[in-house]
Amino acid sequence: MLRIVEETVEAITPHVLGCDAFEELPDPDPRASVEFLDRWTAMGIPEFRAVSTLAFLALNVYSFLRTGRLFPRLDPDSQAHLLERLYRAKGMLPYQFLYFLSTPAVNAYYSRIDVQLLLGFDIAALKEESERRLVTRDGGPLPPRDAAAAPSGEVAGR
Amino acid sequence: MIHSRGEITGDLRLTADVVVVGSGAGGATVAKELSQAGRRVVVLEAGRHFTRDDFDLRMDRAFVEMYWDGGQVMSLGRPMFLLPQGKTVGGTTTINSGTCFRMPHNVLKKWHLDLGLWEITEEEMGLYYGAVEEYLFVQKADPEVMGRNALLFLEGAKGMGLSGGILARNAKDCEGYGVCCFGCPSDAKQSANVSYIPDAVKAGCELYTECTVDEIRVRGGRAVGVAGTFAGPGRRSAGPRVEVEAGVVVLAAGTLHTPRMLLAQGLCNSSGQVGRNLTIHPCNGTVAVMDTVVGNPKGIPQATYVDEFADEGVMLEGGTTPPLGIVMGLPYKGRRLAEFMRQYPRFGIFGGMLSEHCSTGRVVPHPRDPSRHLVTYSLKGEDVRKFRFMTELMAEVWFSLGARSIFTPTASYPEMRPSDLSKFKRQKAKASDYVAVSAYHPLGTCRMGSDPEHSVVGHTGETWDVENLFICDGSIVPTSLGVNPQMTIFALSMRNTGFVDDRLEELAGRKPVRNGEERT
Repeated sequence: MLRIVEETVEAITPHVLGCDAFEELPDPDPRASVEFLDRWTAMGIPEFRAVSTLAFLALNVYSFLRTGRLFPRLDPDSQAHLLERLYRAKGMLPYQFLYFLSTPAVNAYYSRIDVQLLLGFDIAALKEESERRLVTRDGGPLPPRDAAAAPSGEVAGR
Repeated sequence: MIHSRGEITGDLRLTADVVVVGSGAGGATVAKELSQAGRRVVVLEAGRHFTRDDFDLRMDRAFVEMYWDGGQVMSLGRPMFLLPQGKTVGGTTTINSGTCFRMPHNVLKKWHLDLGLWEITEEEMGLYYGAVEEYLFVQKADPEVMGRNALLFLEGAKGMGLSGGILARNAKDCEGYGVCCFGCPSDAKQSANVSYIPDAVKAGCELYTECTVDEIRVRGGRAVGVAGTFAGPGRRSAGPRVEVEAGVVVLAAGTLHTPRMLLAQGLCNSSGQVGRNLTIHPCNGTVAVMDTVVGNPKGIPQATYVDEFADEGVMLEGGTTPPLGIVMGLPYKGRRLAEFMRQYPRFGIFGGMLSEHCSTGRVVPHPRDPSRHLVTYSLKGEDVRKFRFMTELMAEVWFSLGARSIFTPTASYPEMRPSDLSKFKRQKAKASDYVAVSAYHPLGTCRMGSDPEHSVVGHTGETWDVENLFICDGSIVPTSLGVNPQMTIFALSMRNTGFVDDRLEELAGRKPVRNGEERT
């Protein structure tokens, strides 16, 4: 992965996620976004990797044309301001562009077990329960259901 | 026995009665039926083998490990559709929602009248469907475990006077962990990896994983085997080679990969139909913010349906999705995204599919890489209007249930409030307005028919052009079914297995065994 793409992914992560505004949401890990992008694009079709790279390069071109500096070199407020302009743009092209820019951060963050737990998806409890309630094709009674896997309530801290 | 890549240390030369390429609904059925009939069966599967211990409920890992191209298969056209396809033992049955439908009566009638497939009768298919349903424990989803979300939407739809109900599924003692699409962690879902494949292996079938077939061997107009390559130690490196000599070759690599293999070798295409006639079910979904906790994702991913407009090609089916499945399609970024996702426990989630349509697509070889293909598909004409109608319909149901706003996969109204609905309905429907949509159930790219000039295989599944080469997967299903297709693929494959068996008898110089007779 190009160094500038890595830096841009890291720089854009907190802006895309907006978690700092909410105390109960864990801090994002920009490095995890880079690792996700690397893993994800390596598994996929080469064109996807190319488009994804182009999207991050295009953000830097846009940043340079508007501010004279590459996106990672801007201070956080200027980065946020630049992205706000993109968020406000309507139509399919900006939507797809933002999709590629935000995919690494969003995927890396919302696939975290602690974040999903906060939203009511208790992966560990469900996995544990499923291990105790294994189904076989030739029957046999299953152990009782576990209250831990019942639907969760509102997000903690709200 | 299931052989993993790690066990293969050098090139392999195998012989079998039948070699099956792919282990999804089609290939697994053939493998099980023929193995149990005493045939020597070798199955070559491109994906890896996972068990319930491996299924950790994580969508991100499942996409990378069990989906073709990390879940990034896209169709080219307007709009672009994500086409998730399973690449693992069990194929897409391992990562689908388990919804089960028989082929509607009118579809088979169309096959008779338009395609001359009179040999496939409703009575006969009924027997196969019945056998598959019994074997896979097909039953209606249990309302106790399906989750509030699915029932809520159904209540709303019924409150508006729309018809609908509870979906049948191939699941036994399902507890609604909400993660069918990432591998069932309790083995409740009776996908091919926990049903057909284990029974095939018990009966002597040899299944090799992480093996990509790159050659169908044909001699004197007859298929005589296949050759392929095991995955290498690196992600893109090649491992040992495998050659399988067999009396019959069965292609069951799925609607996208079976035509790709044929096109790469220029096989079976005297009709020019290989790769054409692709039908998919274009889908779009809605996320509603409700006032009360809905309880996602615990529940069944697809548990209820609304079929009021099924005759017009609009079918709503839905249930629940984990947070990651929602967040990827949201229009928001930054603080608004976080603010919105905090409301996840109150999300109502439902989807719809364009079940009958006039649009078709195509699978074409990749211009630079013969091991890959491209999929083209665009929504055309009336389908665009119907696609938008699905969004309108879901919006009406959610608003009738008191949703304050809903999120749609459109660029024009990513967030829609009740007051926006009439404006949305008035605006011109455009395919390009849809931005985060997916499609499922690809069919038809090696279509079955009675006329060799217009089809790739006959009603037996054998290709017109190459003897002893059969196709048993969704690619032979000649039209959209209007419903989820896995049951039809299982049933048709079971039917075609009989013809494969007959051919093996003929190759052995014996008269094919008929119903009620015993093989001598």
